Amino acid sequence: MNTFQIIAVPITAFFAIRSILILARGKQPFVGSAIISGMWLAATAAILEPDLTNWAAGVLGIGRGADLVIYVVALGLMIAFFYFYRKYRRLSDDITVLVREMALREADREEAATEAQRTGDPPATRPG
Amino acid sequence: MTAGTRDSGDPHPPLRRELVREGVFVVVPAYNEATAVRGVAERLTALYPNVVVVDDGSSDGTAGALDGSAVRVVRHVVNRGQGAALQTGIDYALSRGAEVVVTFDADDQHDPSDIDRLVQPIVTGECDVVLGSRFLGHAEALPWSRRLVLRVGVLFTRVVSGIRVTDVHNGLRAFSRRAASQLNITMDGMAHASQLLDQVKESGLPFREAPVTVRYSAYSLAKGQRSSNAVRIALQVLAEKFRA
Repeated sequence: MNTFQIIAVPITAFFAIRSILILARGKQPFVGSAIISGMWLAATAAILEPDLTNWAAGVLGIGRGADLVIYVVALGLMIAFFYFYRKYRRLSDDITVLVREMALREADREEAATEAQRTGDPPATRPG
Repeated sequence: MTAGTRDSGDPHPPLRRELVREGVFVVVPAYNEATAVRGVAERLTALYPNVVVVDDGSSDGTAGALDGSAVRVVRHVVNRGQGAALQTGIDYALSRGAEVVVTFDADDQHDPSDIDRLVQPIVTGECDVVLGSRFLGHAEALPWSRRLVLRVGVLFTRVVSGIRVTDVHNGLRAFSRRAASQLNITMDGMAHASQLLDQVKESGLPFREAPVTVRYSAYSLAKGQRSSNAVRIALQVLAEKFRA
């Protein structure tokens, strides 16, 4: 084994085992956990046996193992980008809904207080 | 979808008896408009009793500038964008029984006397949505670069959304209660204008354009969107279509 393999394999193997244990516990969504486990296992295998990437590239009709790795990483980054963009948009939308709800409730409260001051009655609460 | 038709009426049509001003709510989204908002609000309340300013998390005392005025103020605790402020104002207006909801910019570009022309066709039942168009009316002191960007925006909207209008980013619009109830603006920033048009088209409700005046001043140009933002808005519109 070369120096990079000596350093990298324990790290990737650790995360691979950890992710498999998380998958086995069943507390995280299965698909996401399975993908992450597969990713760490593939990384460990590819670092231990670099010729595996060449074999996989050959099966897929891609020239070199390094090209396959680049394509997979690029595709993964694009998927991750769109996943996190959607998540960001959902969170942003939720924040807007909360801010709106707070604004409308405060407007209701202020108008009820103003009306109560005007009539001398206790403030009423607007339904819904 | 009924194609938009163009109102070529007089600059200031006489008020018809059917127009019930109390049912008209004018929604004014405002962000850091302390300088202009009071004057805009007073000109509006001279014509319409129900004016709602949505303070979108301003840091310059915009809400405070309206103290003692006749407008209603709804405040966002943090800035969310003009689209978000508009939807908040529309929700408020509908909850208070609005029959017509008018959107109006806070930067003093619009002329309050144009509102009657937008509201009349809705009150008489001719259509549910009236969109203001500076290109059918007047665009005073409009820089040529901004005119070019707006024209490109019109073309973009025709291609991407299939909507034929002459002005796609005019903040002066009027909606019937039925139309306003169907709006759900989720694009918080300036791209909301395109989303609004998409929703108007999808609703199938009849709409038309009406000539309005937009006045550009050094203040409004400095305050408003830069022409370069058009690219970002276009990308946001496209991203939203893919997201949907």
